[in-house]
Amino acid sequence: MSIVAGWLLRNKEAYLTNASTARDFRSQLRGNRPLLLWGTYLFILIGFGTLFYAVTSSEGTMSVASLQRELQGFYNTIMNMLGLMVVVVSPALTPTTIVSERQKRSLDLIFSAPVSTKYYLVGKMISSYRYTWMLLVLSLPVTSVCVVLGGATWTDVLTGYANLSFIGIILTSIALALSTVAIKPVSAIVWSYFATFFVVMFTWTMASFLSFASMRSGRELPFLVSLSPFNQLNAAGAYTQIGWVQIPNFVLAGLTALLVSRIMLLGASSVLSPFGALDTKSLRVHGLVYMFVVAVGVGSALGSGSTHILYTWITFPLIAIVPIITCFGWDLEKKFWPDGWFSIRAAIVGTPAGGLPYLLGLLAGAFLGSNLGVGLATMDVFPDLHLQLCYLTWALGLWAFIWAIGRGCSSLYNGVKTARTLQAVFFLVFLTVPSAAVSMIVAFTSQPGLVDPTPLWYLMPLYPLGLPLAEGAPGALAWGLLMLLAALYIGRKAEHRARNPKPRGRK
Amino acid sequence: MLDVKQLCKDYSGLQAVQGVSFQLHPGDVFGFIGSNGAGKTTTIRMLATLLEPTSGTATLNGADIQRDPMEVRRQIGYMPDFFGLYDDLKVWEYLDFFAGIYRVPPRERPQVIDNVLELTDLTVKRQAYVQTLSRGMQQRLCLARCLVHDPAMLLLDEPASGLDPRARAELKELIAELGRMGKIVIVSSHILPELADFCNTVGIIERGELLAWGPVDTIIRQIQAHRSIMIRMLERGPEAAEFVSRLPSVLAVTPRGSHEIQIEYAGDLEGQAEILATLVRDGYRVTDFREEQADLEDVFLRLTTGAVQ
Repeated sequence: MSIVAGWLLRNKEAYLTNASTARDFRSQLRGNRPLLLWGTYLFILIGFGTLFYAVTSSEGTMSVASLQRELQGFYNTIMNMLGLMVVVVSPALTPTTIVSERQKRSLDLIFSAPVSTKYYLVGKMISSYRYTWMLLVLSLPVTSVCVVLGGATWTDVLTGYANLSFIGIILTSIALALSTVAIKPVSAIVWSYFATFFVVMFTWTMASFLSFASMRSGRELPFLVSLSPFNQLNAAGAYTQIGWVQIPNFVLAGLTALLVSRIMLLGASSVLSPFGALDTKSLRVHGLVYMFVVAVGVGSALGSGSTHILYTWITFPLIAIVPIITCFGWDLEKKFWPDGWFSIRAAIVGTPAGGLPYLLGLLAGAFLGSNLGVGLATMDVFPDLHLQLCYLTWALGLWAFIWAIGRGCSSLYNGVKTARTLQAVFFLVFLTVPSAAVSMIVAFTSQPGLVDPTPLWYLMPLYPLGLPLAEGAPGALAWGLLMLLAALYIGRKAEHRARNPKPRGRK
Repeated sequence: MLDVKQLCKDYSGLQAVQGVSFQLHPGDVFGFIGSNGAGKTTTIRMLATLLEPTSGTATLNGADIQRDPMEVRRQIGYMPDFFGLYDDLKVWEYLDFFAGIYRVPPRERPQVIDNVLELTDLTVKRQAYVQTLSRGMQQRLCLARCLVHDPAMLLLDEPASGLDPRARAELKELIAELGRMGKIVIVSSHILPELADFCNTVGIIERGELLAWGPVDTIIRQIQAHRSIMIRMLERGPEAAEFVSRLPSVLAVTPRGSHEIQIEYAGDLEGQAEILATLVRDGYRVTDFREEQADLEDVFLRLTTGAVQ
């Protein structure tokens, strides 16, 4: 069988004839529960429509303009209700899928069969997402009324549905990824809602900010607005100009949803896969590419002032995944066993020896990407390079230091989980808590006559607006070198301990 | 053929399995004996490709568990020591799901499901919900699940635990039948009598080390260097004991009451027959003369110390 035919067959099995989807479908649609749920859902939507009609009719005569406004308001409310439904239902259905199988211990039965993690996860994703999508489709008669009465056009409605579907895909994939790492269903649901809240707030804030900016500049709304569940009225019909081509925003939103869901599925698959799995390698490569692309995007969008040190904070959210990348131990699968301290191959295979090179790769992606983005916007590539190198040294030092802490924690104990917890505690004690204290001190010393202690703070480059670039550079360089030295010392000690573990013997 | 070579598994410096090696052929029903925590489940999970060995290899019909796990999975049916059932499905839906997972073509699935239900005597429960089945039936359903893709090897981890005597007997018969069908069956248990009935090969594991493996008779022979013969006399027991002790190849004689004697004998079967003939010729009236066979329990107790990890 040719490679293409094999690929087609695998995808057909995963997407069209997935046994896991068929099984979930049977249990989801069994009994009266779905009928009751859908009935109630339709009742609410139709009830709201009828109420609106009754209220509007009771007002007697009104001008065409105000009626148009009322109908638009009605359509907007319906779309917001659908957005709320997506936001509430997606994180409720998905996060328990994997974790409950793990609790039931049925995962072993599935993974002792010739099933790839991709096949299984795609099946789970389809069965979870399908439910949200069915609810969306069920609401079509109500939104059709808006078109018939004149509150919206078919283009608005279909674009809105497409965007809400994409938001559903993003939220479902995030919840699925969280389901693979959660220990209990309740924690999976809580984390999923937390992630959903974060996504909604992020897209909403960005949408509001970008809408305002676009209104002022007279430009079209950026495509990110389409991914906000409560902005569908504004997002309809908008497009993005790339070169000479106008691309509808919902297409870009769909592309973003596919990319996000892909990396989330790869992440979930990597968690469930053993050592050397193709999905882990793919995840690592995707991570590097995404980091570069995001940095280019942010750089070109913001490209002005000192934004060419964007990489210092673009990379900072990586702190959430650093314990997974850096910690090692013998208590979990082979992919977490210590295998040296630096290996470029391991950075792609996904073993602890690849932790540092992978972090450096991400940093390089962010550095090059943000500079390219700023360069595209300002036509000035690598501005203030000598200053940038000071900040790059700081970023290198910070990530090497955080890596070394993970290695050190791992070498003290045999357990990966303990090491990760210790590393997280370290972040909390040395990064989060002091940051709050320093912010207060900075606020206090900003009064005239008092010395600003900001340059003394080792996370200073994360405050991009706090200090002029040139003033902060020496401090950044000094802190960077200091953290690099500390990283080398801790990393060397940790490697020595890992190579000569204390014998534990039998219980 | 299953070829296991020097399989090892470490957990944080704790050696759960240490250099386990054995070979099995089609039709072998292998009883994996060991106390709780001896390493049976870890070995079985490694063979099921669910755990990565720290070192060592195992190949099933040429497919390596580490290099070609998907091919191994196609050839095995794994039944863990828990059910992992989906309560909200009907029996046929449950089997249909696993038939789908194992890529049984949709057109063949109804027939396959009927066959495995018949083999496990669950045909009448085809439309029942999984949660309504008794424990014994659920166990048989798990076994039916393992059979939907007609595997070459079955890995059954503590299959009879928690079953009543009737369900246990039915399961034993079913496993023996699977062996007769030419499948390699690995059954782990710490209940020895149930294994002795249908296993033709056994392996005894303790603290991760395989202390002995091979055909049941051979293993018993290995631990029992000399024959142990029990003789019951109608009368003159002590006199017979003294007489027998002077015969060639008799190593020790132990009187058991006034009528029975037990002898340790280093000779062959002909010499054994000659002892009986001599006793009768000399006027001793023998009512019982038999070789005492050690059983799996004796072997297990003799080889193991009861230590766990």
